Amino acid sequence: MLQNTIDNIAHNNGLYNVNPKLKVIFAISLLLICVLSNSIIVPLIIAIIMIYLTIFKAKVPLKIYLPLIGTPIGFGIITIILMAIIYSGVGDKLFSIGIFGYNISFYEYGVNMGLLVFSRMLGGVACTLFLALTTPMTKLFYVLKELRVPSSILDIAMMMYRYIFVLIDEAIRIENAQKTRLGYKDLKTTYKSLGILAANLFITSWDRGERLFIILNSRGYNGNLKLLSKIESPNIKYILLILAFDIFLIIIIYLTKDFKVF
Amino acid sequence: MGDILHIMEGFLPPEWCAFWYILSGIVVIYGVMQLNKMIKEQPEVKPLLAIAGAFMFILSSLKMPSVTGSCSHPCGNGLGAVLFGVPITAVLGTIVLIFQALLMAHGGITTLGANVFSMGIMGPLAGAIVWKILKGKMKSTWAIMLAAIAADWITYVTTSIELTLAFPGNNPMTTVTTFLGIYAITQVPLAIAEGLLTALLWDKIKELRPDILLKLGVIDESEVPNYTSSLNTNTGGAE
Repeated sequence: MLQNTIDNIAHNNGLYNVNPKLKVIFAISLLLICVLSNSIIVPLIIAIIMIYLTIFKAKVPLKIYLPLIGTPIGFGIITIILMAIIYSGVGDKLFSIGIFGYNISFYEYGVNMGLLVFSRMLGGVACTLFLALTTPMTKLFYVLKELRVPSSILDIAMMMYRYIFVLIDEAIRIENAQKTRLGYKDLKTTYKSLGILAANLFITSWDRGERLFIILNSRGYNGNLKLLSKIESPNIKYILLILAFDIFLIIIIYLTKDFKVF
Repeated sequence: MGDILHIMEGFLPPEWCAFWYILSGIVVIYGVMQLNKMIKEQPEVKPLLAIAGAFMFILSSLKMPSVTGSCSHPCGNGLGAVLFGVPITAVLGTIVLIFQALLMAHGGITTLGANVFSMGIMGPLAGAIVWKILKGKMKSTWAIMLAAIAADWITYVTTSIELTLAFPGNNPMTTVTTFLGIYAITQVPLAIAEGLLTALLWDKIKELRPDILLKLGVIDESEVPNYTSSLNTNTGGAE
């Protein structure tokens, strides 16, 4: 399953040993700058940097990275067409194409808007993928704890993370058992099999939940889970470098705010 | 269609990201307050809710075949709302959406607020309202099916409205019909598929472990006569 591979790479990549706080600050600040940009230049710069870092520094296999980064590209092309439809008639007409007998005209404003959204999506997804593929969830929990996320939420999130993988294994086992007994052979049996799978998964989940409470209780659970170790703060030098880079990008945003492709 | 279930990272302009973050934030904070109160009274709900959330995550990554030949993913938000109520479902939905963004690259961090509003708040609210109205008037399996259909469908209607507000186009009315055409109409068969799946799941749980549903107070004892009568006559093998 897909979630397994992203999680595996997060534990196993070239940038694993970089301080997680640094990676979070870097990815989130660039993500915000990307969304705040009014022209396509800065998001594209950010996308290139993030794609370079993920492929060449973190050494994420292309087989896994390309489909993930391909989604915003495919969706971006749809977005440009969509924006051309909803903003038709604003500005100069650029060109028109016929699709399935419909004639779609592309006007200046709509195409520019579509390209802007496209570039923001590309940059944004590249930032999120960088964070997701280089930083394991377990490290992110420490960062979230220092950001004062309520402990009830964090505890639930941590246990949820653990049990997602337990339940995926369970689901795959049930699915294989069903397949060997002629489940999923046509549409009707597929629904029946899925219903049985989901119900059994729910019941096992419930039982596991009750057992987990007993397990926690027998180890002195008083309503809170304790995270003992801490992550070190990154070197101030690197934070200043990221800050300088952010300011540099914001200046570029300001300088290119009137830039339009068409 | 399943892959554009959530609004993608970077799609919304910054002011709308902030707007949905604030709106969803209020509901989620209310949910957290309720959650804290519940945990204080009964500490066992914490592990149970965590595993319920993990179940929601798995449910939303199941591939559901639909009539058109494409695949879709169920939301599971209707079931959550019926079992745990809207505020708790909003909190669980938020954590599930963060995991989906970071473990599966679905949805995103900047658009989290908007996605929480549609999938974690409006959808469950619709499901809970349908459930409230129909509960007791018909078999709970039918009621949960309609609640799941409503929750799934309203999720997409809300998504179309969110997109229209962010990109109104020349004429907001035509834009909203365009987005509704893309999301809401194509989602009708998928919503029905989710309803069917939820009904099958509900029936199976009712058959195998009615005690869970009785404990949550979502079904009446009269619905599972065999189970309750066996409880009354069962003397624990003492005879």
